[in-house]
Amino acid sequence: MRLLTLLVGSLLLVVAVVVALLLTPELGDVGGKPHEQFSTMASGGSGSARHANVLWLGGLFGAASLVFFVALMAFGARKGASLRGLGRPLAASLVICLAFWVWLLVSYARTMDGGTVSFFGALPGPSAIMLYGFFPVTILFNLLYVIGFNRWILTEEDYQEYKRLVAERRGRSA
Amino acid sequence: MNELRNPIILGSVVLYMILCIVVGLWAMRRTRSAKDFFMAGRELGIMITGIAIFSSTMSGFGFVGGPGLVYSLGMSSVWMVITVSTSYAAADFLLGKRLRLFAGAFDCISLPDAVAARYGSEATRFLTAIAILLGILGYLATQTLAMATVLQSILVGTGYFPAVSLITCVVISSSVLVFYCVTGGILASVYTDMFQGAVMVVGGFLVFLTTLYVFEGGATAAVATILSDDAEAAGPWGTLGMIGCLSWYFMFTVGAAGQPQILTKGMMIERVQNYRWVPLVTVLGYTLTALLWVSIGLVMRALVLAGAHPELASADAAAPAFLQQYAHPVLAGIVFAGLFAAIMSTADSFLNIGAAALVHDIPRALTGRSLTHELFWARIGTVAIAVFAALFALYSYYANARLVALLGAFGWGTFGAALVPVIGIGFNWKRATPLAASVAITISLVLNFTIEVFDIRLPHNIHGGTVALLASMTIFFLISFLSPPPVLDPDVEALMEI
Repeated sequence: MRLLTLLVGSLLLVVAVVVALLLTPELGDVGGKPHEQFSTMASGGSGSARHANVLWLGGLFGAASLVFFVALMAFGARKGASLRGLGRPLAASLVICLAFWVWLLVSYARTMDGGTVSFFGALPGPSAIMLYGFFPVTILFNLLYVIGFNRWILTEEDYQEYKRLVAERRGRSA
Repeated sequence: MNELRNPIILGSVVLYMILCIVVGLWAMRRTRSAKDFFMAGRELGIMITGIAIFSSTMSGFGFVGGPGLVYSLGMSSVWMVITVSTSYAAADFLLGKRLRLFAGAFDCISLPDAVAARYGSEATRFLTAIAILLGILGYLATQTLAMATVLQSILVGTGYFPAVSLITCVVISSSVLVFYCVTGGILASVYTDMFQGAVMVVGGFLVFLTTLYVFEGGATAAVATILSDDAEAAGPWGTLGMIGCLSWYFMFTVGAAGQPQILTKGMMIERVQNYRWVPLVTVLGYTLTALLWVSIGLVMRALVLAGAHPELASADAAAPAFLQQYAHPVLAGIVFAGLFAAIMSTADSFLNIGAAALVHDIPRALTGRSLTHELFWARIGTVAIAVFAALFALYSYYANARLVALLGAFGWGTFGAALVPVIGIGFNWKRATPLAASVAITISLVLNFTIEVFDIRLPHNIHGGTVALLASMTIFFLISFLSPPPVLDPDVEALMEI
């Protein structure tokens, strides 16, 4: 029941943030503008001009989405037993993702006014955090699935129970 | 070697098509029933399931549209790429095991079959099948058009067929696709996916390596050129902006648990315990393939900005232009074959899923029983859907260009909004009711169509599919909470306890 509360609660939080965003006035070239020289390209213009009033609401959108994703994952784990074993690693992975998410936001906020940009791995700092930091840590969720499959997804007892159920069904229909 | 570029490309594509036909003939001998045709006899191994999942997700859009998006919008579409980890994780946790358990216990041969078993409702099966048919129509027409356009440009490029028409190219490429899908069903589809996935991974990785050396000064200089022209384009949100990117991230992550081409493959794995390893294959395969998406787009944008390459005629020309100009002829051949592989591996999945909805689920929902000679009708249904998609693609190309783009653009959002609540949530929550499922599907279709047909632009570039998905999930929960608890089949209840 607590898991369902977390799932529905985080969904409603995402809905509330999206509604708030829909009601927030647009500033500057929100969705970019045509490139001055090349018609097949767009350009973003000033980051601070278009993101000034949505940066932290957008930050909340990203954070609430991550919580919702993790709630979905926990909701899909096996139902027969306590989630204590899975809860901690999932929560720890979520915290790491949120830390990288905040780092990405702060890094972008510092450079969106045109501040000095440092490069890492051929990308400017904020993009490098997104591609080489935030993205790889989200792979933790896939690894948790693989590592904990026999404990949190399908135990041997679950499988035996399943086989019994299938055999019983076949017996009934025969 | 460069003078052989076009013959090499044509040769690679012809070789690839011959291989697809051979696989179709091989699979025909192993396809003896509707279960074989739609579920590959539920005998797939880990590698083949994993590769089939990622290769049917990475369509022609990833090889052509993806680089085009990076070229025109900068880093924005990278948010679609990096959902690979969270989207597969959410879909795997929610449904990887559970759908396979339902498929085995209830002998399901399609996704709507599993939905009917879960909800005990033929109306929900019918609506699920309709949502699938509507979603695949756009996807298939887009893929058909993409296959024909690429084939036409290759044939014209060789100089041997300077006046080949688009209709001829639709006929050639669709014939190959239909041949192996009709003869071998999903078995041919997944085994060609295996080969197609391998070509895509190799092509994607080699292209990425090539892009590192095309721009003078390397990748850092290329990105610095983009940055100095427009800092936002090289920033984490690209030119689309933060909220638009995050709405993509949400929709692509959560929407994965409603994509029939992904979910159906999971129902085919031989041993449910083997599903454990599938995410490793899918995430790694998709990531390697997506290197092409990001790297070509960035390099082509930098080359044009620096004046080292003329401006492209359209953003979608980024990948073909890069391959024609900068890739080694053999690599260009591999990647063009990979492009066909990406398109066909998506199209074959949708053909099979659509045929199942048409000849298995809709008749069952309406009459309560399957068609006699279901395998025969499955083959007829596959041809019918392919012909309809080809005609639809040609009609929209010559008469109404917006039609295919319209349906193709909202495919992922349609499946996500319609099926995530019903399947992703509903298969894990006993309190979910058939009424909630039917209303969620209907609302999602109405919302998605309204937003797309009337071309409604939401503030801050929030994607319409995200709003439809949030609305359908919220309504699904609300109606289920307000309805009396459903009485479940004891076997369904037992399966949902696992």
